[in-house]
Amino acid sequence: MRMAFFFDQSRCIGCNACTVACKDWYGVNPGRVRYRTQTTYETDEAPFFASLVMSCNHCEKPACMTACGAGAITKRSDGIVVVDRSKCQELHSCLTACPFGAPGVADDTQEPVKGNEKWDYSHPMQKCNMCVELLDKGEKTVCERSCVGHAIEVGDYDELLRRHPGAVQVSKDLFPYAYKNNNDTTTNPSFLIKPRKSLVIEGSLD
Amino acid sequence: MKSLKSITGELAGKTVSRRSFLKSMAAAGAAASVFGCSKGDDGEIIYTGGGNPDIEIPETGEAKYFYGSSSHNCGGRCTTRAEVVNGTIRRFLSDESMMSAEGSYLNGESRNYPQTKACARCRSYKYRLYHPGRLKYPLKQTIKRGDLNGFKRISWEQALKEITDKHKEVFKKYGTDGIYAIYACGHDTSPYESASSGPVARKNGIDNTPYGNALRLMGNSQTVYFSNYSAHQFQFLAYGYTGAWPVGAMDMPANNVARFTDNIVMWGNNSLSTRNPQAYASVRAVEDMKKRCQGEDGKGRAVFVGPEFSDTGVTCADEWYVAKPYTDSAIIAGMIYHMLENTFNLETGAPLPDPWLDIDYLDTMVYGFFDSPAYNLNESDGTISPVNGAPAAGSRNVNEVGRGRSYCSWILGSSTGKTYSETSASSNYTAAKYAEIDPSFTRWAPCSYTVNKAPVTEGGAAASVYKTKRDYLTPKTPEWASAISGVPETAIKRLAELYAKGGQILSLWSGGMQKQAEGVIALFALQALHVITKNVYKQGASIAWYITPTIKKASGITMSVSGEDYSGTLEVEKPAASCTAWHNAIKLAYGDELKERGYTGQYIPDWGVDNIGKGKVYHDDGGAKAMLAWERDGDGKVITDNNTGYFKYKTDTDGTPLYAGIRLMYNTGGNIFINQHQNSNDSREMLECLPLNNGDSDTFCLVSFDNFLSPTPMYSDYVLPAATNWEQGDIVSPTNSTPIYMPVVTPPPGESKSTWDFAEALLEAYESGLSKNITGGHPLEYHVKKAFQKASSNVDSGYYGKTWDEYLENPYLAAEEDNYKVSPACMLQPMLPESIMPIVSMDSYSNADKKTAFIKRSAGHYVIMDDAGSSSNISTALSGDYGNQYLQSSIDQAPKSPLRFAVYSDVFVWNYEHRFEKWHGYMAASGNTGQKNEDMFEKDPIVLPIPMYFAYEDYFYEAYNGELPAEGNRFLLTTTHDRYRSHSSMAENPLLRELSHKVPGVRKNVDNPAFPYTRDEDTLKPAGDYGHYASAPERAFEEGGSGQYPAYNSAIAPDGSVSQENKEIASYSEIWMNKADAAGMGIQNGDLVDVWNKIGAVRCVAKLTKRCAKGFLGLHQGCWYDIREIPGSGTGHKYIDVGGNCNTLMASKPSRADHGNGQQSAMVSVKKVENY
Repeated sequence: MRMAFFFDQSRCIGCNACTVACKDWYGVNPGRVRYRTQTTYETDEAPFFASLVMSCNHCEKPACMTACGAGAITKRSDGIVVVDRSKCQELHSCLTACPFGAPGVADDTQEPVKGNEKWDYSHPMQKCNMCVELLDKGEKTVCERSCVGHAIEVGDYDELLRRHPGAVQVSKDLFPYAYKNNNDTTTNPSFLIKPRKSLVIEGSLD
Repeated sequence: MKSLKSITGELAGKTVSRRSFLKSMAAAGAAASVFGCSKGDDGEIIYTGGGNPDIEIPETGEAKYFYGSSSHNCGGRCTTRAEVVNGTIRRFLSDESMMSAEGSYLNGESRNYPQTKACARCRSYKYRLYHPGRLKYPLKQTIKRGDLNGFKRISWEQALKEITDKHKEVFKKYGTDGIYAIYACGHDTSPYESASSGPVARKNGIDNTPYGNALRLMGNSQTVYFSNYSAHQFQFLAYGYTGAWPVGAMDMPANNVARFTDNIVMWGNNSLSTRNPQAYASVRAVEDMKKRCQGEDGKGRAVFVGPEFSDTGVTCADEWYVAKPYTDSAIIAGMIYHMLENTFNLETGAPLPDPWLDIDYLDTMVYGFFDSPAYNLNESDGTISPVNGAPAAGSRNVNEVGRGRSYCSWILGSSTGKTYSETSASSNYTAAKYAEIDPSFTRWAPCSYTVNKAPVTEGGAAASVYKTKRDYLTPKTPEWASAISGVPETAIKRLAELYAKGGQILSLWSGGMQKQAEGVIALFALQALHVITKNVYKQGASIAWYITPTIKKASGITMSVSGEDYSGTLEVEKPAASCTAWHNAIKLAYGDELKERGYTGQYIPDWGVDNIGKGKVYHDDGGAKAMLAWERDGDGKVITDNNTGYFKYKTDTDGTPLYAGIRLMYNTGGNIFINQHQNSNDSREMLECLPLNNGDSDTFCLVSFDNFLSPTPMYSDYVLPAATNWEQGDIVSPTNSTPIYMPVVTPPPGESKSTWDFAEALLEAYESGLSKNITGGHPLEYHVKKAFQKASSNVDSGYYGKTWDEYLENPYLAAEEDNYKVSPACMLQPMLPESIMPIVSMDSYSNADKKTAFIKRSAGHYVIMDDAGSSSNISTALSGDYGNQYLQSSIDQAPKSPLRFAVYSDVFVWNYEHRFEKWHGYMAASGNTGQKNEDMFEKDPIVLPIPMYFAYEDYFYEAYNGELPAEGNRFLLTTTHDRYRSHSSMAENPLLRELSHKVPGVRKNVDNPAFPYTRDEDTLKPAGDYGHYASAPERAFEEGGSGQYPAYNSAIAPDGSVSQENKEIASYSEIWMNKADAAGMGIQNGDLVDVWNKIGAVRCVAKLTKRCAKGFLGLHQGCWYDIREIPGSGTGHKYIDVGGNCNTLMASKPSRADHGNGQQSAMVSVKKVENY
């Protein structure tokens, strides 16, 4: 079992329903922490424009987990990489380690310190835990449930590959923009993308 | 399940924790901001400084779930569910039904999947409901409109007494004519709770009477206007154009697209953003079309034409034709030229062997594509004969399409064609008749439209200041169109081939294409393109706004309000001015006062202070000049003066007409006045110069009922706090289900009222006991319960056998997908059953002898094909009537519909020139009645019968009074609707602001400085000013307040500067700019820029992108107008709108022909702001 995200780039309408639903669900206030991001990237060659919606990719070899000196990040047997915020010691090594920029740290405005008795540090790292509590109850993740274009699916990596011919693993070659935090290509991310089809542009943009 | 009563009881018990929540908000605001929060006399917070919406929601406690929806007018109505813990909404969920109400499994892979999943707007609704800036108490302005220091908290009783006293005073002097409810759609749910289309001002009563609303009960003061702000140009063309109306379909069924459409052309479409409940169906229908057409040459393409590559384009398009805005009708002309050169030898005029266009069809069915002689038409059999005096009964004389006046003649420019007899087959009945009537008529001749009142010559054209006219004799070749639009010549030719030979074409025009200066004409041209290429009346060919799923809805409850009673009131006749004409109605009434008090009209450069005065209006007025006080008979009908034929108006004591205009304006749930109408600066100047209401009949008074102190409430005399969805019981109609009842699930803030309760209180204040006429004397829930009881005992209802509590727990009846039903070949909606009115398709007509026009006159048919002036009855309720009242003597001379498609319409021109004629008797002495304005366009007619290309330079030349932005710094700007506001609703929502607003500068990768962001998409800095937005100046509502200028963003100082501590949080709306353009201007990604023209100036953050064309700027719709006095900006303006409201840049000049809101049209300059 290797839980993974599937994302259909040709069906994403760029609406941010999933990213906002995720924030609303987990009570993540406005601010720099955002478990999911939607960005329409621009490339020099076709397809020229492509939406990327990404959160934690729950890698097979999570760089964040290796980097964490506090043992706050673990990988479950089903592949989901979870952070235990109460163990985080704000070492922040995970922030540089993850190639995709998935871990986040809030500030006092986004996450008021008062009332945070659950952990010792002010702003322990947080990130997408693939809605483990929901998955464990047999429910679907918030992002999959909210996706207007039916472009997100969560499931077993191999099963998703079977179900979606044409889907490929996120990689630096095909989706360089996904690697916005570093170029570590060894993590084996559990993220499959069905790429957007080509686009012909008539007229000059340059 | 608890009863509703017990739930509301629980809510009542929640007030303590809510207050503590507010308290924590206030503390946050005060700590974070120099502005802080405001307090009323009793020390309670009226309207606080922002603060982070850190909503205190218990983590434990039983969660309850309620179905409902939001209330804003985004174009859809998705189903949402609130998860409620102890009376507070913890989070929002969406429609997740797996089964239809009928019990069938819903297939997520179907293009007709009925589940409506909410987008970012509804998903973030909690942050709107619990926003600290929500209005809580009635406010009264006491100093000057727009001055926050002048607002005093008053009681509801005082507010309603003063408003209804004002109402009575105005009524006493001006009758029903001085009272007006402005178009508004900020809260747009049901006849029961909608703000503007609800019980205060709705157009149709629940009992189906016209104008069943509170204003009607208050002295027959209901408001009449034409159209709306979303589809003015579209609705006008449907109404004023003669010929069949293929654009009549707003939506195209996904099944038709999947099964019949061969290619899709999106003219600037962004329907995935504006029609969220239909978005999935659109994506899937396009996929299904492509799948069906796979392998077929030239089929299965989705082409996007436009300046800004919308999310819809990114998702659906295979090809993007990068075009300048406003140039659609030039592209279409270039395409048709290419079709013509593949149909005729343009040198000799001889037809080619394998023509792209069907000449016989064009002769028979399309009036005015070619020049043609006048003829008499037998209305029953379609036969044609020469005109011989007055037409016999059952026949009509159809005007000639004069030499050089047809669409084809204009397209070919200076060319001359062959005669009908030389170029038609003998089987072409119509051509043969034309040749008989006048053998010398050629199909086309050199363009003969006038320049300086004389038919165009080469010299005359060259001498005109208007590019439109300089091009009259120019062949409208693809090369010509390419130079104008920027679309390559080869691409225009390919697009021409697509329409002529690419099977069935669906054009999606979205809303933006028509909401421009030449929007009516652009749609007319698109319609002509479809007519000429026979892409109408087929199952896959149409012109539509968006694609929609086909679903079967379950039978739910049918609401009625027992006891609703309008007896004793009247359906008074009023002139139906455009919904956009209200500003002119105020100018008409208050011109003298405005001028005296310093109103300059400076934001309307083509007007000028000399023209300001009582009884005067700006430009063609959209019907405002008809807004006098009228003489009516006992039935409310306006009295006609039998001597003159004009309507009788009331006069002042000095004998001048009583210019009623608008004296008291109700603005329920809307932000049109300042924010959403074009030219916010002019609206502001007007409101600042009008004396405050003093209760008499002659001072202007603006009453706003709203959730936030958004720009229009900010400039109002009275501000009344409104509840919204989830805080008031309401029936809502989710797009893909039957209407459902939403109970109160969370308490409304402060003293805010539901619309139902507001209407009731307003009526009671007007006259005790009156409100029962609209409510039946009961709360809304009583009527819902009655309707439910009826449904629950009806075996056909989805609620059969259910209890009220069960209903409250789950009222939602999910619809069922229908993957088989397709719309008929005739895309028009016949109003009679098919057995009575057979559907005629293009194909069945094409196979016939083509003698009879297939669009015959038939009563009740949806096709608009009226003769000029034919509809002379005043309609009090239908928005279709737009000043359609003419003198009989004019009607007698009016042109007749040719009973065919028309790409040339003299009826369109006639209606334009005569509209409102009967209302304009007071101007008859000056020879000035109707709408035509002979002072413009070098005194040549400004509305012409063909959909020619009117050069955008000419609109700006006129709107800016001859001063265009400097060459070398000249950009075209439009304003699409993105997903992070709904018009101007949700502008305050922090979870949406962080997606649309940016802090100037670029973001470095703070997490990994060794790997700095390299892509522009990653470096833009999201907004950080949540604690500073939608706040009010300190002590705003106290005696001798702070004196600060009203501002939404307190992170930006009154002089526009941003303190060092706010530099990393103060945000601005992003504006999209082409990367190559920016490089030339020294503008980098994330730079703060000023954008300005003669009308106004805005400050934004530049987002550099290849998603827009060169020479184009995209500033998305709906930011709140928020001005700062910034010295030395170099824009020529004293005030700069740091809120980035696009309408600050939009000129007052209305769109051509319909006098509507051409407010997606601006030409601007841009420069980087160095210091702020």
